[in-house]
Amino acid sequence: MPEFRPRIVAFLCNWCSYAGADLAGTTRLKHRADVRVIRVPCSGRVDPSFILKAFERGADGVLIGGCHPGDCHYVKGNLNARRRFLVVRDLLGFLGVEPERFQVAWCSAAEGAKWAGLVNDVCEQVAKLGPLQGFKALAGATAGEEKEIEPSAE
Amino acid sequence: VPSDAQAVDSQAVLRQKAKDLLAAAEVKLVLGYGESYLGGAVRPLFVESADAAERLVWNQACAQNLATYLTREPCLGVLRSGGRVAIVAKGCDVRSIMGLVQEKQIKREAVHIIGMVCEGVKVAERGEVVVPSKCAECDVHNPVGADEVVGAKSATKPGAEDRKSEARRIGEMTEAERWQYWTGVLSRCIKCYACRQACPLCYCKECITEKSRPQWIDRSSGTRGNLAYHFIRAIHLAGRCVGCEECRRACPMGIPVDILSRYLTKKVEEAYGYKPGMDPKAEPFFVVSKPDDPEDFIR
Repeated sequence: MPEFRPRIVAFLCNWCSYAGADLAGTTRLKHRADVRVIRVPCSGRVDPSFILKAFERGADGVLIGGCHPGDCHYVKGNLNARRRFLVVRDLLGFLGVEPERFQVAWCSAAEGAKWAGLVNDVCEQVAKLGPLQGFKALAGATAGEEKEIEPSAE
Repeated sequence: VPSDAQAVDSQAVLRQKAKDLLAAAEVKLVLGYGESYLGGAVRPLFVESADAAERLVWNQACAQNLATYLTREPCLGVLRSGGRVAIVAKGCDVRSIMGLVQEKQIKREAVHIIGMVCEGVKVAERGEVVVPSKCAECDVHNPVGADEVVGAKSATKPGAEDRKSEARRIGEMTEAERWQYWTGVLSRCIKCYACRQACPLCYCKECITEKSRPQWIDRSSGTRGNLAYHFIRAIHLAGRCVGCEECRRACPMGIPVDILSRYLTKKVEEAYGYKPGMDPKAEPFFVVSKPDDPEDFIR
C-alpha cells in the first residue's frame, strides 16, 4: 500500500512566512511536498471561513504562517489573527477535528530552516492521523456541488 | 422561583414606570411584554402611549430577550430620529444591551433600561415547560447597569451549571464521537435562520450566509452546509454571546444551538479574562489584541 500523503493547505503571510518558504527553496532545503501554499497579505487576512473551506474541499490539515509578534507589516494583523485562531482551534476541537490538523506558526523571512522543519513535522503528524474523513463524508450530503474553476488559458 | 404575588407587584410597578416615562415624554417607546392570544404565553409589546402601559405584563413566561428589537424597527426609527426607547429587561437581557452598547450599535444614553429582578423564567422545550439552564447558572438575578430596577433584591446564588456540564459531556467524548454528535445534531437543521433572527447580537444587515460571490456557506440544508453555517455563527459569537439561549428557544428542530457559542465564549473568558456584556465601556474581545495575549498553541 502506498504511503498516505496528506494534503496540507498553508496560508502564508506575504511579508514573512512566504519569504521564509522561498528562502527554504533558494537555499535548496528539502522538505515534504505535501503542502499547498496560498499567499495572503497578512495572517490577519485569514478568515475562519478560509480554514473551513479548505477542510470542506479536502484538506487534511491547515497550516498558517505569520510574522512574529511585533514584526507585522500592518502593525497588529498577526495579533488580531492570534485571538481569532485561538477560537478557531477551540471550535474545531469541540466539533471533533484533531488539533494537529490546524496549526499556526510564526515564521520570519529569515527562518527558511524553521519552515522546512515545520512542514516536515506538520505533514508527519497529519499523515499519522490519516485522511480527514469527516468532511469528505459530508460532501455527498449536499446536492449541486460547485464546479472547480479551471484557470483560464491566457 | 418567585411567588406570584411578587410578580404581580413588580408588574404594577412596571406599568406605573412605563406610564410615567411616556407621560413625561422621556421615551417615545416602551418595549416590553404583553399578553399573547395564546393562553399563558407572552409576546413583545411596543407601547407608544401612556394609556397603553396598562397592557404590559410581567411573569415567568417573559423569557424572550427583547434586546433583539433594539436594532430593528420600530425601535431603530425612534433611535435614529434622536428619540429614546425604554426596554424591559431581565439581568441576562441587560447583558445583551450592554453588548450592543459595547459594539456601538446603540448609544447607552438613548436607551432607558428597566431592569427586572428575575428568579428564572419558564420556556417550552420539546413540548414540556422547563426552567432553562441559563437560569440555573444565572449570576445576574439582580440586573447590573440598568437605569432602574423593579422588584425586591434577589439573594439567589448561581446553582448547578447544567449547560456547562452539557458542554463537558461533549468535551469528554473522543474526537470521533464528538464529530458524530455534531453532524448528527446539525443534520436536522433546516436553515431557517431563526437562531440568527432571534439573536440580539446577530444584527448585521448583510449576513455572510446570504453572500453568493463567493459562496462561503452552502445554501442547501445538507449537513455540510449546516455545519459551515453553525461554524461561522459560533465564531462570530465567540466572546460576544451572553448565553441568553434565544437561538435554542427559537430553533424549530430542537437543536441546542447555544452550546457552541457559549462554549467558545467560556474559552475566551478563560484565555483572556473577558466576559461580554458586563461593562458598557469595555472594548469588545475581537477589537483589542495585546502583545502578551496567550499563544501557547502557536509554534
